[in-house]
Amino acid sequence: MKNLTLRQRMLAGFAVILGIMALMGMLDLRRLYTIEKEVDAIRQDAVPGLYYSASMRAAWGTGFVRTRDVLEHPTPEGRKALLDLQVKSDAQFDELLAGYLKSVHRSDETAMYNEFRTLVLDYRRRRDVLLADQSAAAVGQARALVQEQLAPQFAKGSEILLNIVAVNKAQADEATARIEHAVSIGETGIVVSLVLALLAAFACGYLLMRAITKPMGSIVEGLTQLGAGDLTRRLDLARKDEFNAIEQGFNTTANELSLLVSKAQRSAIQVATSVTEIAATSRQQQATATQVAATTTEIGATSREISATSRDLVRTMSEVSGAAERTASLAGNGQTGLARMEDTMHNVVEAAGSVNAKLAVLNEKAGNINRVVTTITNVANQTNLLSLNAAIEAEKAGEYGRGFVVVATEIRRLADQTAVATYDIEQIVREIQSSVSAGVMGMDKFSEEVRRGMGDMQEIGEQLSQIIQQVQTLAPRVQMVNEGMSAQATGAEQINQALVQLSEATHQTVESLRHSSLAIDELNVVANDLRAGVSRFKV
Amino acid sequence: MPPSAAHLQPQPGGFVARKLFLQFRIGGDRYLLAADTVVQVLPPQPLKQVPGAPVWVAGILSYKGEPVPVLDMSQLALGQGARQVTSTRTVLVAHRHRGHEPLRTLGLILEGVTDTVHRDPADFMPSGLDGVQARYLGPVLQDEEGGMLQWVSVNELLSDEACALLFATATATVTAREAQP
Repeated sequence: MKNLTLRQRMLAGFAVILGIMALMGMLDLRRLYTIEKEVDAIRQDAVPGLYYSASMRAAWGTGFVRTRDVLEHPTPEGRKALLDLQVKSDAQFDELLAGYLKSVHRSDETAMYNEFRTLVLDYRRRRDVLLADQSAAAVGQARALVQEQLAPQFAKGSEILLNIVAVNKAQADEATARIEHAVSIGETGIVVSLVLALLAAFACGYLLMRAITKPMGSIVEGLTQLGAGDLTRRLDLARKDEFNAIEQGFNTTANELSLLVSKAQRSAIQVATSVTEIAATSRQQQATATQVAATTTEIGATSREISATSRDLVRTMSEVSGAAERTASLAGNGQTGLARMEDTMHNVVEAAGSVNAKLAVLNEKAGNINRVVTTITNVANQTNLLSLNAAIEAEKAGEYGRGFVVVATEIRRLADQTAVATYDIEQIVREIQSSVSAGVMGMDKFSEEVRRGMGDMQEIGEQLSQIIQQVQTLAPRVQMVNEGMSAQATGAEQINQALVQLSEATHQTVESLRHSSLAIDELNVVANDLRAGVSRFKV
Repeated sequence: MPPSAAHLQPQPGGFVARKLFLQFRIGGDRYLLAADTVVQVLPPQPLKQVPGAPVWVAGILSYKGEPVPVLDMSQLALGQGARQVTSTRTVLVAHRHRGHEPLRTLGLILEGVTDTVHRDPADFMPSGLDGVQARYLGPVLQDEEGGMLQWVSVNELLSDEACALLFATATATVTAREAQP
């Protein structure tokens, strides 16, 4: 039972009900069919039979009366008219009979019909005979004739007709009774089957309802809890039908929702955090903007200082320009002086050169003397040496050497004198030489100094000319600097203006930051609400 | 007038008592060397150096084919090398170490070698300072000018080790030179 799907159950329920109803319908149909048959019977058999037979009975009676009338009518015209009428009514009667014949379906009726027909024929024959017989038109005979000849036929016919009528009526009654019976049975059947159907419907409905409402109840409960915020709720219907699908769908949805809400919770927290950070940053920015505003003011002050400094600089530059020109003229004077000094130095150098030449000659001479003196000294030296050795050898020679000793000694004395003299000369010459050398060195140094001095002077001259050049190039540069200074002053002014604008912009920034700060506060509130709202859920 | 000129005058007592001395200087003082010990006075000579020898060993001189050790007197006595002047001469002396044989030729670099003098050996008086180190310094003689002349004894110049060193070195040099092709 549990494994049936709702569809199956519903189909089963409907099938049961439909089955019952079909059964009911079929039974009713059968019954109605029966009734129809009966009705048919009545329609085709009993009622027309009854109608025709009743009509025939009436016509039979009317015909008889008419016949009597015809017979009793005083006038022939009247009788003719009535005979015409009779012919018509005979024709009608025949129609009726034919019609009745159509409705005859039973054998006893057929028998009665045949009998009646025969009787009718017979009656008509008799009647016609009677009517044709005009002679007996005596009034009182007609009736007696009629009574005598027609009445029994008429009565028989009436009796047969009566029987036919009765039979038809009985038929009709039977049929009606059967119909009624069938109807009552049908009613009962309908009621029974209705009750059955109702019961079945109730049962199926109840089962179906239970099959639906129980899980529906769980679902509703689950949804309610879900709606209340408990996103951990999952369905477990233990069904394998459509509710299983619903259960899975619900669980999946609950999972997704749970994930989503947990994500939303996290996001809410993050948003709250981020908003707090943004708020902090915004306040920092506000502080920074305020600082910028302050700094801008400082810059403005500095810029004004720059302006003032520029103007001072312009003044200083003109002074510098004047000083440069004076320097140039002084340098020019210096150059002239240097030129004169250069000439003097040239003369000095020449003189020094000539002195040097003389000294060189002197040196050479002294050198010559030196060489001579050296020779003399060498000779003295050798002589001395010789004398020493001679004296020693003489001493060793003993007596024989005594005279030689004197000679040797004398030689030595001369040598010594020479040596002394030459030593003196040498000394003098050395002094001269040293003086000369000193002089030469001094002259050289002097020349060197002079040359260096000249070199220096030339350098100085060049430097002075360079100075002059530089000073000359200074003027346009000073002009440029002047222009630059003015531009700078203008620039400083512009900076000032820009700073004023910047200050305004900064103030606006501060304002907008304040607004944004307010907005962030609102956002904070919203974020908190979001977080509160989302934290309601249990995931 | 050179100081030695005084000695040209004939002396009372004849020449026999007087001895010829070679005068030289060490530092600021004058010293005498007995002329009979002097072989020859030479002008300053190129010397072969003796590496590793004491400072007062000036080098080795080749004299008549023989190697002669030369020492610097001023260096030996004062620790100061002899000045390179004309009067600084190389004096070759006949050396008998402490008076013992063998007789070897020794070279001395002496300063102020320009004079010979005649003096009476008897005029010399002991100096009163007989230091063991300077055994070569002998008796002294007062000069006319007031300075003192001291007699230097050649044979006492060297210590035993110095003598051995000096002449061994010279011999070694000879051996080395003879060994050369």
